[in-house]
This record gives sequence, structure tokens and C-alpha cells, in this order.
Amino acid sequence: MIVEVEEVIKRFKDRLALDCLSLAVESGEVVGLLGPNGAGKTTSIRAIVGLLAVDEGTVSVFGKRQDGRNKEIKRRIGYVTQELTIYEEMSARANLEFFGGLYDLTGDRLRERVEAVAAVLGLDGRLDDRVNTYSGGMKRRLNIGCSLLHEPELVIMDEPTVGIDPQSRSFILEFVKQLAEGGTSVIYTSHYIEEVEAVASRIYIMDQGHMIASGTLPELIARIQGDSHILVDVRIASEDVRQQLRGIPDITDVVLEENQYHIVVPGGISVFDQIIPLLAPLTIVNINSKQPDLEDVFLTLTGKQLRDAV
Amino acid sequence: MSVFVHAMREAARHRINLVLIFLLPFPLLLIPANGGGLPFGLSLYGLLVLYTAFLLGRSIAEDRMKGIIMRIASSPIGIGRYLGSHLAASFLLLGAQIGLFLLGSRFVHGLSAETYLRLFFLYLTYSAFCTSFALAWNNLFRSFGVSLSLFAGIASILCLVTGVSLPLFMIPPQVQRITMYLPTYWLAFGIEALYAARSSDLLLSHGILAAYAAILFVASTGRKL
Repeated sequence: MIVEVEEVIKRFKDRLALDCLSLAVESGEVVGLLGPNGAGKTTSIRAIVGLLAVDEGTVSVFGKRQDGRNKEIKRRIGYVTQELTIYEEMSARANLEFFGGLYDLTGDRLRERVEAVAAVLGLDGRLDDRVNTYSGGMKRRLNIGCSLLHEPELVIMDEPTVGIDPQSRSFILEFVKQLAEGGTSVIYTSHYIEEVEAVASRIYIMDQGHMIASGTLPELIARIQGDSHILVDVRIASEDVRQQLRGIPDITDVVLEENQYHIVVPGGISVFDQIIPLLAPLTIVNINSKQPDLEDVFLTLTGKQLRDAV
Repeated sequence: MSVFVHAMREAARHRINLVLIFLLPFPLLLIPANGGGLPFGLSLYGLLVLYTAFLLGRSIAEDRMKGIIMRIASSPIGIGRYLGSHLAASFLLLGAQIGLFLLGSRFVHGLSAETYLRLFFLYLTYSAFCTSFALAWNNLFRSFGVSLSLFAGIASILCLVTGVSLPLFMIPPQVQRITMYLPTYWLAFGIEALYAARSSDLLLSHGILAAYAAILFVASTGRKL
């Protein structure tokens, strides 16, 4: 086991940031930590990196207790921060050399690694340019590159695609997959469901400091597989109608978002004859039935959609 | 690139640092003694050391404000070595500034070698306090601009009431009884003691400045990331 977090509790004054959190990362897998802002993702990974002491429970990395002082553990981790933690006034090469130096890389070995990381991240053509002339996507790639020079066995990425264009995002997601194919373990946090779906072999869903579900994507979807999801768009929605729909015994849950009702029904049961009379006065614009995905898993488990929770 | 080399480069990148270290001390040599004692420029230089130390601490402040400190804390070198390297770079540059200033003073004022040696060590202890003060001060702010503008006001007042930018004899004894609790007072006090050859008072200045430096350093490094 690369990482083992067991029943960790972390408080910031009166606020419970992590509530009995447990998770594990095995060698060579990409684990996705999914949850809205404030779910506890960053707190979790700072505890794993050793930047934060936990109040209760244990964090083990590479089989050793993580207390933030073990240099051998630090040497084997690459931490990609959520913020751009690079020097924008310096060249990309100087950045890579400086951050490589933090891991005792020197001389030819450092130069080799700088060239290799720059090539794999597509920065080799502009390695000597100042970072403040880079696009947002290039800065993000450099931010990742600065954590990879020492060839870490575990890479922890905290929302590495914040604020970048779709092309750069795809590049980074592909790169994460390549890392995993090369045997590197990755913890990838995001509040974008499609990113976690794309890269993670195992997913942990967090909300308000709790770990509310975990498993592979098919396993998570199987938890709500029995349910059908009906999406009804109306011209003007009403909370009263939502309450009435919720009162129908065959309906498990109803979520109202703007002018759309998201109705969850146990599989095999038809409720159209019961819902149409209630919804018709609101002027139905569209009715859709869909297969469950990770968004539905999150909705079912938390009662809210991730994009609203962010 | 080591953190020390990086810190030196960062210091050199800001031209204002180079002006403060290599140019601004010299006009102070033209300020004569005021009512006896050593030339007043030697006291006023304390204000310049305080500003220089503050500006040399800029890269540590910015690293913390930008979150770069997180990346450094997660690496094997850790915060202790990082701070040590930065402070060593600051101290080296301040030491160079002090050396150049005293060399200039040797030409202008022509005091004894022993006086310069004692002044050198007094300024060094004082610069240790200034470096720790800058570190602690910057920890209070999330923006270097805000930190700098407030520091400018506080540092000027601090130096004015403690005999650094106004001769000590011009400050009423009642006021001195209060301002003696402020660290910069002990630079002016030490320079007076040096002139009057009161070795025990000079040692007291060293001790109090060093104690302030240690307390502020511990307070600033104990802050959470």
C-alpha cells in the first residue's frame, strides 16, 4: 500500500475539516478525490504530504507514519499545488532547476531531468523564456513539471487544471494517464466529475469532510443502478409541485434546479401517469430519461449536484 | 540552484536592494556629530539597515504569499533550511553593506580601528534583529505592498523616538524611559556607550538586540503555513 489514511479527524478551531476519513492508494493506481470546494480534499492531501498534522487517526505513506519530518517520504512524493507555485519572473529552466535542487538534484543529472520533463510537458521549445510570457495552460504544465523532476513514486495533484483552456486540460489528463501507465501512483483531486471519470481507476467522493462513497466508477454507478432518472424541463417551476412529486410513493427523490425537475425512481416502475398531471400546468418543455453516471452518484449520495455545491 | 544562490539572485533582481546596499549609505557619512559623540550618520544608518533588511526579506514574504512555501515545505529541504539559506543571504548582504559603510567612514571620519571593529559587531547584531523583525512583520500580511507601506510608517516612528533618526540627547528622559523597551533604542544606546567607552553598556546593547532577534525569529518561524 502506498498511502493509508485511517479514521483521520482534523479540526480548524470549531470547524471539523476531516471527519473520520479513511482512504487507501495502491501502487500504480490513479485515485480520484471528488468533492465540492470545502469538502476536505486539500486538507486530506496536505495531511498525506505531511504539511498538516492530524488531530486523530493515522496517515501512513510508503508504510511509514507521515509526520511531516521524514525526508525519505518527502523524497518519494511529488506535490502539485492548486495555486501556481512557480516564479513567474524567472525562466522555466531556472524554475525547474531551482525546484529540482530542493530534491538534491545537481549537475548533469539535473540538466537531464529538466530537459526530459520539459519535453514530456511540451515546454522544451520555450524553456528559456520567462514564465510570465507563458499562457495559463503552459504555466499549469510547468507547475506540474516542477513536482516531477525527482521522479516521485507518488504524485499528488490538487486541482491541477483550475482556470485553463480545454486543450491544455486534455493534455494534462492524458499526461496523468501516462504517469500511471509508467507505474507512478497518483492522487488526483478535482471538483470536475468528467476529469475524475477520465483518469481515476478508483474514486473517493467527499462532502463536508466526510468520505461518502468509494469504489471504481462501475461500482459506484452500480450502487444506484436500480434507479431510473427522469429529467423534466418546464417553463416555470414550482417548489410546491416538487413537494407533491416527492409525495408520490414510487418516487425516491426529486431535485429542482432552475426549471428542471430531476426525478429518481426505482427501476422498472413507471410514474409518468402520476407525474404528468402534476407537471402539465407548468408547461412541459422537455422530458428525458438517462442512464446514471458519476454526477447521479454524487446527487444521490449528497442530495445536490456537484456544480451547485462548488 | 541552491536556495542560498536563489536568495542572492532574488535580492539582486530588485534594483532598489542594490541601491540601498551600495549607494544610499554613503551620503549618511556627510552628517556631522551633533552635540558631541560619534558622527550622527552612524546612528541614522540604523534606519537604512532596518529598511534594507525589510526589502531583503521580500522574497520570503512573496514565497509565503504565493504559496511557494508549500512546495518547499513538502520537499526534503524543509522550511528550516530554506529560511536558514535566505537569512544567511540577507545577513551576508547586510554584512557587506556594513563593511562598505564603515570603510567609507574610515576615509571620512578616520576613527580608530577598534571603534570600527566594535561598530561592525554592533551593526551585525542590530541587522540580525532587523532581519528577524522583517520576517515577523511580513508574516502578519498577505500582501507585500500593504506590509511595506505600513512598515515604512512604523519603522520611521520607531527610529524617531528611539534615538536612531533623532539624537538620543534630544529625546526627553521621560520618553526614553518608555522607548527603551523598543529594540531600536539599543542601537543608539550602544553607539553612545561605544563613544563613552562603557563596555558593559555596549554588551548590554548586544544582548538585548540579540534577544529581540531570537524572540522574533522563533515567533515568525512558528507560524503555520
